[in-house]
Amino acid sequence: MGSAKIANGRRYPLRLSKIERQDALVGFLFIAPFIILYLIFNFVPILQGFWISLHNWDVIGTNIKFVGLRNYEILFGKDKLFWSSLEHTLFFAVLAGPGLIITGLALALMLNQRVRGIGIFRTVFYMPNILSVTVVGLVFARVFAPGERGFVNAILDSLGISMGSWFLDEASAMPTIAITKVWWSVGFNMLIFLAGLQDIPQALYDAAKVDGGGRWALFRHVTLPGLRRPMLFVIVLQVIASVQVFPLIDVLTGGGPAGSTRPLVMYLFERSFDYWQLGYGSAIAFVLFVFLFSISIFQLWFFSRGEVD
Amino acid sequence: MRKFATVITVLLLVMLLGAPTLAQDSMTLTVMRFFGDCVDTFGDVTDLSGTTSECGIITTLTNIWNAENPDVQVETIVADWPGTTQLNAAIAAGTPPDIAVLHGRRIPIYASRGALTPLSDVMEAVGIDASDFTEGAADYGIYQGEFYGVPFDLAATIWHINLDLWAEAGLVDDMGAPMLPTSPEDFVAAAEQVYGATGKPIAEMAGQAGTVRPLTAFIFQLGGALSDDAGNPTVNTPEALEALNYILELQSFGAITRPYNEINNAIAVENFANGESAGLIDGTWRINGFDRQIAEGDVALENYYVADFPQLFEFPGTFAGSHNWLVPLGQNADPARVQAAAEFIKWLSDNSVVWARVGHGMTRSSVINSEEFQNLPHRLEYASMSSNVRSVPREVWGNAFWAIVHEEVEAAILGIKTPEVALADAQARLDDFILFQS
Repeated sequence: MGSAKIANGRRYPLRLSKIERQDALVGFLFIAPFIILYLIFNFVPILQGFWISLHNWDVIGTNIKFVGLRNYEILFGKDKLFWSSLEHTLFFAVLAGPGLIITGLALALMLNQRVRGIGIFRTVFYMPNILSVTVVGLVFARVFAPGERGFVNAILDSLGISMGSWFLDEASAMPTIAITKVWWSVGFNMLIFLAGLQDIPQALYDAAKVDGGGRWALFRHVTLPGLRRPMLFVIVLQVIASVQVFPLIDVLTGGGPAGSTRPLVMYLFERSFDYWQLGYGSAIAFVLFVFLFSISIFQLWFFSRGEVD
Repeated sequence: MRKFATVITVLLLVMLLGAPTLAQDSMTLTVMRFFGDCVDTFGDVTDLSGTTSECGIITTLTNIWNAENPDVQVETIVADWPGTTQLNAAIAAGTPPDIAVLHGRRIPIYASRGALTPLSDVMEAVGIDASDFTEGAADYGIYQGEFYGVPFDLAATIWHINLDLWAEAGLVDDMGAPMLPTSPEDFVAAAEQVYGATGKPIAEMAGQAGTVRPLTAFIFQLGGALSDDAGNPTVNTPEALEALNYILELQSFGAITRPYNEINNAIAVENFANGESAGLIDGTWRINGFDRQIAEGDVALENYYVADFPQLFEFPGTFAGSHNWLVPLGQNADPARVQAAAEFIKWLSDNSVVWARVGHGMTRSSVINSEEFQNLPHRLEYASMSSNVRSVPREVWGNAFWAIVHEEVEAAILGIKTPEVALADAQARLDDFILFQS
């Protein structure tokens, strides 16, 4: 009987016994419904999307013509809007991502206290996360409205600072969207970090204190390492969500002014549904998929280096 | 056993043969439209008196049709504006509605793909007189000489005017009408006069009302065109550059409109209603809303006048969209369903004067000349609008043109691009769009 050596040095037989095979079969049967649904509703559409990307393909399913890799050639070769949309997307991710993570962590640290009524604060900070994108959009369109109508401008006016429309200025539009995104979504990250903080054994803090560790040392050598997995989870999710941003920008600026906040997914939507170029839109979608998949794998590898179970 | 089988066979045959007859006796047509959902308020209403909103009117008209036509019932599917996403999904899934409403500029791309049913013959069959449409309006429903849509209205860009502020500036004549400018110089002079007297801009322009709509209007007025002889889009032209430079001049002047990056459309509308601007360039769809606000007394605006979009150059010409009813059942649709759909569309068209209460222009001469239409508020003030409108060329790129040119003109207004670069980029993007059609 052959055997294989695994990491801890023990040898396990390659062939399974009858009981083990039966157990494995039961296991496969349990996950089979998920695998089947995943294949039908996720994997097949991905393949179908790639197939469509090799065609000229109207959104209503007409005018279908095989063009091979032409859509990708145009995309990488001469489509300035694709690159500018990618640039806007990454700019948004850079603006919103750190804010979402650092603010989420800061809120979690503040709310990880045993104080009467702390649940109310946790609920309040999480609450924006349950609002729909339309509600958030309408609220912040008003908060950052031009002139005295806008809450922020009214305050600035009283301080003698004059601002136009935050969303109609090329320089301020994307940062304002990022601020809106942080306000809206930070509650989720806070919750994940809070759960992570409560999993860190108090004994570690006590031991560190006995060793003379101050607040910063406790945070750096106990809290942060203890939050490694929640941090990985949050970062991977935030990067994916930031790169996929669309509805919030659609509601707040529609990609304007002059296309200066158009993210990649909005561009994909425009080409597919407004211009009827579903083939080209699918090519953008496939590139986006590969990009996100690669980044996620890199992040998983990067954060799991040196990790010991 | 044989007897039983014979009876069953005969019964099945009777059912099969009878089925089409039964189906013809009663039919349900599906109508996919935007204009909102107001079933809670108008679900059972069949009295049109006093109804002035788009949603209220179309819902009530449908209710009346259903009450009067028990054999051809109409079921409404409310789509989100502009109605294309749901319609595209329905067509792609092979389950299109019998009737849909779309903006006229979107018709060519659907018609070119065979997704729409040609309507010229059936319009004639049900009594829709194509010659009754005004010349400008008929264009919106036509693609390559064939009607694919029945133009229901003209939603044009017009000039909303606060007469009190114009009077303050001495720009109202003895008849109580505003003294409208007829040249670029006049326009600037009038703006200076109004701004000097009131400190308020004469023609606030925001969003598309400050970009693609005035650009196309001024191109038309300068004698330019939006397409070449082959039907390809042309926006990088001397007329377009002159029009864009003029728009930039208007935007930077200060007395015409507040800076583009300080207002959006909602704020421009609020400004006008609150008496903070002497004029507003926006659509016919605002008229009823302003009249209602004035009647309710909750705005500063009191004496309200509606003028055509200013004609400042040689030729008349202004932007208008047009809501069109169409039959998205394809080229080989069931003639009975198409006929029934056309009859419902004819009924809507015959009652379109009610739709005019919203403020929209009408497409049929007989309606425009009717007493009921003439008696609607402000109609005589912008009477020439229906004949001044110019359609976007009836080409597959009509809708793409709108979005692309808006964005590039906006870039020029905000100083992100020079006018020359903005127009060149717009042309390149349109050429790219055409590339995908081949």
